[in-house]
Amino acid sequence: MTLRLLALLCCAAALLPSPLHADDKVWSAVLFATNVSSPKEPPDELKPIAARLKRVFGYNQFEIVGTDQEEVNDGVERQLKPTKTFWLNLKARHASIKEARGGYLLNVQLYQDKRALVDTVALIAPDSPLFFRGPLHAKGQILIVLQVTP
Amino acid sequence: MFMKTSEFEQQFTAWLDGKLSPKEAATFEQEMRDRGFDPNAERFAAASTTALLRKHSQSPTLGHRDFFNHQILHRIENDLEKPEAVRSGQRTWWGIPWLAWAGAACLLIAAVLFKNLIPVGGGSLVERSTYFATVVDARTFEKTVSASTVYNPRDNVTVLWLDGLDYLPADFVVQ
Repeated sequence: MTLRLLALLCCAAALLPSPLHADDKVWSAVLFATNVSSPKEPPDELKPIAARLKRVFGYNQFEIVGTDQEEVNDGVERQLKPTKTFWLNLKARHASIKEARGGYLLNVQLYQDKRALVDTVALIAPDSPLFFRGPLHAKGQILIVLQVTP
Repeated sequence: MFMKTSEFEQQFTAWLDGKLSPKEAATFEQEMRDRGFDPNAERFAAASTTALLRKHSQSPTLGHRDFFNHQILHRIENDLEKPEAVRSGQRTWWGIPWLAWAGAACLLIAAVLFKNLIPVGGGSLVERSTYFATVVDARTFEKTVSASTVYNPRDNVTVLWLDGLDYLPADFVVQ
């Protein structure tokens, strides 16, 4: 009887949603993508996705203009300011769906200075960056990256 | 084929063996006399025949007595030991080590079948990727600006594509 009760409790514990990871962080970066004759090596943060970025956006060089990182707290509003010009306001909710793998449902507003560009709701798993295609700049493009890091 | 003995013959045998009660014996002796037999003569003849047979018809004597005794004892011992051997054999087959080996073999077979028969997230690297980022909703604040979600399944990249934003000239510094 005791063993059955213990097994039942274990099953119930396994079915409960995982608790928030107190050390989860949300990382953001503003990138400057260009096409140049002799491209530089991508920064370490972008190396895992550099090849994919090249294919998706069609640029051969990606530079980080600025980054910012904040701890994620359920329901708490945060501001990420990788640059003064482009910054984000976000609120995170822990996502319980299996595909999110302990990720977050983020309500994000992207700003250019004081001007709100877009308000979006996105579901992001850890280490799965979401990209914003920003404005064209000189001979390149502004990109904003948002990623949850465990 | 055996010949069925008559009731008279059965009674005669019983009379010879002395198995009839005195009354039955007297009745049977009277019946014998009626049939023309002399009971005393018949009893004497039967006794003589029995003595003669016993004298001249000896049962054969087996040689190698020790050998046959050994064979019989060996067979008796085997019959006594067999059930125990069967029981001990069952214990060996169903013992914990055998169960453990059988369990390990089952797990191995299950793992091989799982790996070979059940597809896990498709065949390609992209399909097996753990990437998951999806835009549930997006709205812009200006009529000239539009937002659309672009998901590239080949590269597993999700982009919120903003169109209609102002071009930033080369002298514009992103701080």
